[in-house]
Amino acid sequence: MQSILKDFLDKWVYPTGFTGAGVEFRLRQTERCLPLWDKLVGQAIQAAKKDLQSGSAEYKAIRARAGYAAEGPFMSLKQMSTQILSVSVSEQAKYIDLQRMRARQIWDEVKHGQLHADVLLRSGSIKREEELMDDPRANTQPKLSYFGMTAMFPHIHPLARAGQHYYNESMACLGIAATLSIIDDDLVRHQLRSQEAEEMMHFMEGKYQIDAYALTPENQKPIKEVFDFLLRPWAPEPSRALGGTQ
Amino acid sequence: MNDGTKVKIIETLCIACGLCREVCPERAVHPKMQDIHHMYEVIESECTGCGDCLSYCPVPGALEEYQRFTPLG
Repeated sequence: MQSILKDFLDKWVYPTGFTGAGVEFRLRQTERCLPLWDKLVGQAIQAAKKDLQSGSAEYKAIRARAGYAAEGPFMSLKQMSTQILSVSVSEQAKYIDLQRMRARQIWDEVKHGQLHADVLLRSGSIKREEELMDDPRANTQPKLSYFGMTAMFPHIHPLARAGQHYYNESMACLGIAATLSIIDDDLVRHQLRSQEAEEMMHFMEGKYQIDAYALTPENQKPIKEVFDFLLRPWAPEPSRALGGTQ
Repeated sequence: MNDGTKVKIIETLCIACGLCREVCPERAVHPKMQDIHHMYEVIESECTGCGDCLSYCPVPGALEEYQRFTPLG
C-alpha cells in the first residue's frame, strides 16, 4: 500500500467519533475502495513525475485547464445544485446539516475554479479568464463524468451524495497529496493548497453522513448503490488537476 | 491617466467575496498566492487605480486607495 494512502487511512478514515451500524457500513465500503485509492495514488505520483520530466512548464497549464473544466462553476451548477434540490422541502429540517455542507461546497468549488484560472493568468497563458470560455480544454472532460446532472439522476436520494463524497473527495485528497509530494512549484502549490483543506472537508462530509445517517438497511441502500456505481471500472478518476492521469 | 493611485485590500475587513476580482477591468485582483483562506490581493503593477472595485465592494473600508508615488508637478 502506498504510504500516502496509509497515512490518510490512519489519520482520517479509521478514527471516528461515532460507533454503530453507520461506522460498520462505512468500513465495509472502505475495504471496497482501497484498491482503487491505492491505484490512484500510484497514478498521481507517476503523472507528477512525468510532468516534471517533460522539461516544460506546459503541464501546469494543462492541469489548470483540466481543473477549470472539472471544478468551479461547472461542478457547482451541475452537481451541488442538483443535490441541494434533491432534498424536498418537507425534509429540509431533517437534512439541514447536509444542506449547509452542500452550500459550503458550492463556495469551495467556485474558489477552486478561480485558482485554476489564476494559474493561467499568473503564468501568462491567458490575459483574461473569459478566454477560457472559448477553450474546449477548459470546458470539457475526456471521459464519462460523475459531475454531471444525468449522472446524479440515479442517485437523487438525499443520502446518495455520501458515497460520492466519501469515494471521490478522498481521491482528490490523495491526488493532491501525491502531486505535492513530487512537484515543488509555487503555482502548483497555489493551485492545490487551499483545495487540499477543502477536499478534506468534503471527504469528511461523506464520512459524517455515513457514520451518522447510514444506520439502517433502508438508509444504507442508496449509499451502497452509489458505491456500486463508482467502483465500476469505468468510474471517473480525479481530474488532471488533482492527480488523475487524463 | 494613472496619477499613481492604487487600490489595496484591507484583509482584516475583507470577506473574500471576490466581487472586486469580478469587476476589475484590468484583472488586477487575484486569489492571494498559496493562501488557504482564499483571500485576494491586488497586483500593484496591474492596478490602474480606476476605482471601479470601490463602488462594488460590500464592506466599507475593505478596499483602500493609496498613492504609489507623488506625481511631479
